[in-house]
Amino acid sequence: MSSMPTEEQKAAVTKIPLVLNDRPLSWITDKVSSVVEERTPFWWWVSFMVTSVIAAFGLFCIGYQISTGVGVWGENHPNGWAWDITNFVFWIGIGHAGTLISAILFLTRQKWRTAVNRSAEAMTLFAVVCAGIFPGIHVGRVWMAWFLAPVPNSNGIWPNFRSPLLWDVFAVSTYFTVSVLFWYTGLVPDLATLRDRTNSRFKKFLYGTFALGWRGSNRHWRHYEMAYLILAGISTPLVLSVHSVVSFDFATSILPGWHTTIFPPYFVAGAIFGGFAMVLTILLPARLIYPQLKDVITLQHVDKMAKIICLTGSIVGYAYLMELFIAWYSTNPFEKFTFFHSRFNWDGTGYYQWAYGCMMFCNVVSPQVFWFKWCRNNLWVVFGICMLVNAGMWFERFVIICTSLSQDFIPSSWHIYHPTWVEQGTFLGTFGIFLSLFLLFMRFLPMIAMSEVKIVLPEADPHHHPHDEEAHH
Amino acid sequence: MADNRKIYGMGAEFPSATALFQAAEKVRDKGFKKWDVHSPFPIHGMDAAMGLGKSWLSAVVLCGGITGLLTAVVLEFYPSIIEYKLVVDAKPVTLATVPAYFPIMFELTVLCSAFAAVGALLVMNQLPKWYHPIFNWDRFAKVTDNGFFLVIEARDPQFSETKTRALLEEIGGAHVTLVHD
Amino acid sequence: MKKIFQHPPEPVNGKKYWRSLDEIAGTPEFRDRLKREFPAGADEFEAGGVSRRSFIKLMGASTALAGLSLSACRRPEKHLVPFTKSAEWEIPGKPLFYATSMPHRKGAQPLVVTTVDGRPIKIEGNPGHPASMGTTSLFAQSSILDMYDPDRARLFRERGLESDSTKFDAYLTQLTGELGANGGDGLAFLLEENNSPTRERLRQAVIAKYPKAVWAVYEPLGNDAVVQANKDAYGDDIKVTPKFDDADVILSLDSDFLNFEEGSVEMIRGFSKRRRVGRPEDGKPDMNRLYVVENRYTITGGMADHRMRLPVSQIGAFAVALAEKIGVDSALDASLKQLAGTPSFDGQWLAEMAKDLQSAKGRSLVLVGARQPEWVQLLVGAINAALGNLGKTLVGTASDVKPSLKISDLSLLIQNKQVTTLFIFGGNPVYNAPADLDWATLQKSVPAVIRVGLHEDETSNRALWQVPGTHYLETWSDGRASDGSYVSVQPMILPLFGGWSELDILARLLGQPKPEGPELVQDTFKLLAKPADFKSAWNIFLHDGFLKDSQLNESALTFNAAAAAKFIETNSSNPAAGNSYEIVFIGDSKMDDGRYANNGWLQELPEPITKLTWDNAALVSVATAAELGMDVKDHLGKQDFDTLEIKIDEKRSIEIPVLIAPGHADNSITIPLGYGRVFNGNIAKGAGVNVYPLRTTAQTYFAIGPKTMVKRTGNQYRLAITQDHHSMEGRAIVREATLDTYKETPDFPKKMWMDAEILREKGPDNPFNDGSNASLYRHPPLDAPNQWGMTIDLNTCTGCNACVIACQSENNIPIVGKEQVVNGRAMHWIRNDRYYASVDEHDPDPEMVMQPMMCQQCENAPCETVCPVNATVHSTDGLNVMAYNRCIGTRYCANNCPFKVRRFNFFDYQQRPLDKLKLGPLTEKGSPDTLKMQKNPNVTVRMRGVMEKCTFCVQRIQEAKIAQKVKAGASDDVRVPTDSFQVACQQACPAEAIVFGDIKDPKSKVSLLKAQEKNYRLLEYLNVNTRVSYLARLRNPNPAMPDAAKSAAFEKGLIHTEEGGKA
Repeated sequence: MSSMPTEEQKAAVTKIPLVLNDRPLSWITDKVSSVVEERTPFWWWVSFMVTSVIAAFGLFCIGYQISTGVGVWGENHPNGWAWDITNFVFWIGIGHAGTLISAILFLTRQKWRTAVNRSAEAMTLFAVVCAGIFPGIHVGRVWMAWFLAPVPNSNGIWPNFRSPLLWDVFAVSTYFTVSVLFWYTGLVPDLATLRDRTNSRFKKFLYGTFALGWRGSNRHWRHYEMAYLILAGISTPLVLSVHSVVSFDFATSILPGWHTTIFPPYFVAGAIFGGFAMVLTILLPARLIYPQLKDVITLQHVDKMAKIICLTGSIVGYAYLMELFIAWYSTNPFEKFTFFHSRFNWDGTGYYQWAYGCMMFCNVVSPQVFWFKWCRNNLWVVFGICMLVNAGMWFERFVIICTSLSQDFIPSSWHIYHPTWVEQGTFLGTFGIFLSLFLLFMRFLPMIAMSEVKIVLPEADPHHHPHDEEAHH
Repeated sequence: MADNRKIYGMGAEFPSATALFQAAEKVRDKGFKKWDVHSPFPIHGMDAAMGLGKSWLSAVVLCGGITGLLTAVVLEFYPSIIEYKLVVDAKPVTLATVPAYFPIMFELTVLCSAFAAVGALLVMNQLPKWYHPIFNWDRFAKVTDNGFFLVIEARDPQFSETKTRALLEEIGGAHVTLVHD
Repeated sequence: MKKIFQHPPEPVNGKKYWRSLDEIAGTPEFRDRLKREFPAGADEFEAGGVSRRSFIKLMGASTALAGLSLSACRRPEKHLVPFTKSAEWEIPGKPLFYATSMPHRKGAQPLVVTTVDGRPIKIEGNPGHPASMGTTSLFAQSSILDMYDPDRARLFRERGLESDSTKFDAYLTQLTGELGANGGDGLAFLLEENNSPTRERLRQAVIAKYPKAVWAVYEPLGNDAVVQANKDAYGDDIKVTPKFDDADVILSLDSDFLNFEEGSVEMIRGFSKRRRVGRPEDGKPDMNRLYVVENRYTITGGMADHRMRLPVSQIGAFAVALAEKIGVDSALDASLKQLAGTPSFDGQWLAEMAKDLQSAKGRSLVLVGARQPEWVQLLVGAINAALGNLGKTLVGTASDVKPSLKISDLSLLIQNKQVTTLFIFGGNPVYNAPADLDWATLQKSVPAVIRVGLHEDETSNRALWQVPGTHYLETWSDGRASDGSYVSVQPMILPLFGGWSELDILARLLGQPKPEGPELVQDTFKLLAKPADFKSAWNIFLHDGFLKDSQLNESALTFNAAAAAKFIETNSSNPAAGNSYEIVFIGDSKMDDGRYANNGWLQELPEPITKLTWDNAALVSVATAAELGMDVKDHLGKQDFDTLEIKIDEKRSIEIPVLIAPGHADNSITIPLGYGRVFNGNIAKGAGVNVYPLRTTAQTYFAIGPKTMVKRTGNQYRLAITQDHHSMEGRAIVREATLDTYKETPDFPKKMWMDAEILREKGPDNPFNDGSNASLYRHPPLDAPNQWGMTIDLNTCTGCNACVIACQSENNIPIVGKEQVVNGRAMHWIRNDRYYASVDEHDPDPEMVMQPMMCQQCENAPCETVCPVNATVHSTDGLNVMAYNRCIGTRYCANNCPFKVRRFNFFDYQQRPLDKLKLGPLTEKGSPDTLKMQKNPNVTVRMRGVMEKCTFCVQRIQEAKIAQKVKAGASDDVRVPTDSFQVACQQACPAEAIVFGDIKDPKSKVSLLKAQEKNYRLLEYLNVNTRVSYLARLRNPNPAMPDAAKSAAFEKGLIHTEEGGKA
């Protein structure tokens, strides 16, 4: 097992109970399952309609672009990439919180994770689905994308294993697969719960099938816990690697503004940052809609996540400043130009200073309010900041890609990029896809990992005595 | 209810994790082999209480990881050195440039480990198994909610309808029931 | 998604075989049919043992043959003599080369045309002819596309109704009868300027047959003033040509001789010969000095060592002042006094420049633009005479073209109803005749107008007969090159749309039948060459493309000052430098007078200075722009530009977008002609504004006076400009220094900017870098026998763009249309970067530098490592090669290319109509057949979603390598011989600035150039190790000049002095 938790962590865990009001096991089961079992509420139908229409429009844009050519986007020479890769990195970033919560917090014995990890993991999967769309469709000849796979072909050429894009292909697909396995493994016991509670034969059959005949046997739990631990173990370096690899797309290139060794840690921090913001963006409304969950997803959880946002936001801010410092310190005229002219628009030679400004404010300034407990506990403030962070993280990627490309080495080829409705539609569409999938998830699967929450209940401890709820040996 | 169906074993229900834990220790000391406990969540220390050792699933995962790594090594270096020798960016394939090949090695290692872990989990637990005699016990549905059960199988040499029932009741089991196949 | 392969359609007859195969295989009639066609195959068939496969092989062969004969059926039956030395006749798929020449008002350009299977696909200069030496101009390069233009006139029309050639022939017969009766009364011809001896001969014959006939010639960009001045100053039929070889000091007064004045190809070569500077140790490096006085930046001005911006209307005043300073023939004193005014320009500049000219008596040269009025031409003649340049740097040749009427004379005749039958050969007077003539109405008033033209255009619409004309690649003719030598014009292909040439019609008017072949030209040839053995002489003539020693003989030049004085006193008017704007009309550097308006290559070609495509725009100086209340700050991403309303008088006004042109003279507005055509040309449609309505007989080249009014309309117009940013941002991309600096520190480019850091010795302040800019690891060897490389001499490159078009036609590069260019998606593999450079950024007189930029063929190519599918990798002979059918279009390579020379097919530019690109699959697929015929069969036509770029013409390299391998046979002598072939851009370049070759071979031209100290590579610090390198630019300022400091100051900003700091 991994590192022992520190005293503070213990304190954090023990001070306030993770589940309020001393709820019994069955209460957990009832409340969580009720979300799935109750009649489909009206609001769900309405919102699902809306989101799926948006998703459909996105798919239309994608179809149009594939059938007509990348030219329907605003990209040009020298801006070979723009919104496509921006959105890719944006979604991949969001897709990090889930696995991070499930894996790293699991290893570090952050028991409070149990309340949020299920939905966070689901969110991860859906975000990665959205992310996967963009590298897929941004290529000029989608129907030739199979050249990326190491299969012998008529050209007698093998993929280039040194290309960061190929690393991406492997990293993202691995990340998605492992996340699915991890998520599903966690789901099995809860699927069994739903199986045992439902009376409809059809549901019984469906949930039963996916529950694989789980019967809570301890001989099973024994392997199950080991498997879960190992998955958490390998997911931890994986989640760190994925965004590092994504950052290599830029870091290994020679473009001023891309060619930076700070990128991997900075991207990972950014991913956690944006990811947690998105988790909260999703959970706070859910908590509002399902008051019965309030005792499980407590203010304590929100508070902890707000702290993490504040921390990672500051790390990202540090990275931004360090970039500027290095640009100045290196005395490399190209570096200096990219950062101080293209991004800052020092002397009117730039164009994207507004994007840079948005990025700085949303990602560095706004999360600082989380130093104050009042802000961390006021859900409206938290929600607002999270929205800002979501926007800010998108702008970060946009700034990195577009400012660097539009003004690089040879001034004669400088050109500005303007998006078209197709790009905007595609991006919007991915939100539709993301939300539709999440709504389906809320409707048909337990939003909270019941069996895991039960573990953190005092009565789950075989040596349970009142006033000693320290569950760890 | 006397019928001629084959007996699977005898189960008893316990009020709490603690009760189940103590019961398990007793059954273990009695030297039973073919028995099991069922709970809505993994109970800490239950493995010891049942006299089970550490799961060796990790060994399988290690093999999976190694397989993945080797696959990657072959996939990357065979073509670059033997099959499709190409001059790309004037970079040789030497120790100096090997780091460029690490990401894919790493990803494949992780991928295969993950598959190994889940695969091993299913195999070792003999899942999926959609039918199991224990499901015939009506009370057993509670196991995924808040029920704690201990079941001794008929296959166990020490099993006898009367003695076992007595034992289960003695260690505090309620609703002691004969579970048929 | 499944890829559908588009196979080329098989010839119809071939198809029939395939279909009938299964039905009739084995039937007796099929067998004997087979016997008839393929005895060998038939035997095999009857033997019974034939497999379907081998049978299909036979059929395939037949189809191939059928296809071949089909595609070859357009080859003229008359025998042409191939340019190749070999006696071989055509080998399928192998190119044949024919010598011909392109007729032009400035003298025919000797060419060699590459044809494949009977299709001309590429045009090169004629290496045998002194006027070409294998190089070509922009227009010659692009003229191939004019021939294949799908919008060309295809129909004979009588009163606009469809007709045919036989009807037209009948009409001519009848006409000949009528005219013969009345001695050609009312017969008139209007032609384009062309010095074809055959046309001249037929003209004489026609005039002889129809004494009353009228022969007029109109060139919108003609040089009447020059001709007239030469007549007055030197005598009849004298043509004066400058010789640059011994011209040390050159003054150009509003003369863009490197681009637009007579015979630019020779001009560029002659001039650049004196700009090509050797290494100091190989003797004293020396170059000529160029002074330019002009109102706007021309590429000539870009080459200047000293440049003064002066309104065109002030050039005369400048000439007067100069004449006084130099002291011309005393006969002119009176006229000079009469013209003397208060100069509006820097007197010291002129004084010092005059001194410099005088110090180089006999070795100097003063050129004046054809747009200047005759009196200025005469003054300059006087100046040259005073400088003793006549006969030395200026030589006269007798011209054999007899003078003709002007269009103004002709229009008078028409007004007086003296013209009943008007033949218009080529040209387009309705579009481009002087506005005051109101030619459209005049032409309507002529009962019978017979128009022969390549397009059904503005002029055709009002003609009785519209006759499809022939392109010079489709017809027999001849001409005289600018040096007067007699050149051939022979057809490469039968007229695509069955057109008639002007010679055909003249012949018919003479009662002869329409010539089937070269008869007419042969008759002229007999007269000119007087060959002993006609047949062989004729063959040699066609083979070489010109007649040896046929230059017109030189005639001594003596300046007739008295005549000049007489003319000046009576006809000169020297407009004072007022504040009213002058409107300057210039021929467009791409559209010429509008004749190339439907040529997509030229429309999309960036204008050399403004980088503007698909439009024309008025050019003004920053000050003038501010005066007009425009936003003078140009920021990145600007697409919409103000428009001006320009009024010459109440009747005539146009609205035209306006561009701020650094280095433009104040109070002067330059407008290029040749746009705003209205006819069914898909390319020309909607391109630019027609400026001819402002142009009158009196004010042909510039208009000034109280009546000209200019104001901002407040409207905006979108312009497609390929270069957004005009400053190098202090990065030493183009490197230049003065000649003196070069003499002291020949390797100054390597001491510039960041390169200085790399080259610094290892030391306390520089512990790691030992000057080698070394890599971490050893690179795999590039061990092929040849290693290809290139140098570009920035000191001779004028930025004329010939290379861009040459590359486009060699490599099947598509055009993308205006909207795409606005989006920054132009496809050119070579672009000519143009930067303005000045120490103070608000300096109204910046320097201008040009830099051709194509794939630099980095040895450590950043684009390669990022491609996930290995679509771009390195060849062992040092090329950065592209596998187009492997590319999936991630565009990562382009992002990682520091030179941004990779081009992406955002749409299916080769397959879809450019105006409906966004409809994609909803539009019809496939390009017009004629355009397909132009494509180079050795170069892949790239599809949508594929990245492309310069490959050093890899197809030519492969051809050379294969040829060498064949020669080598078993031996291992596979090294392609030194400089045995050229790449497209190099071959076209008139300045010979681009040199390509084997850098492994120490004897090759390119190796010698790379050995020069002033050779440098771009972005050296990235260690990309480019195979393309540049020879730094040199300027030769006159230290006495007031602006001499400028060039010096500019270079100082970049050269890294020993102290380590910037000077």
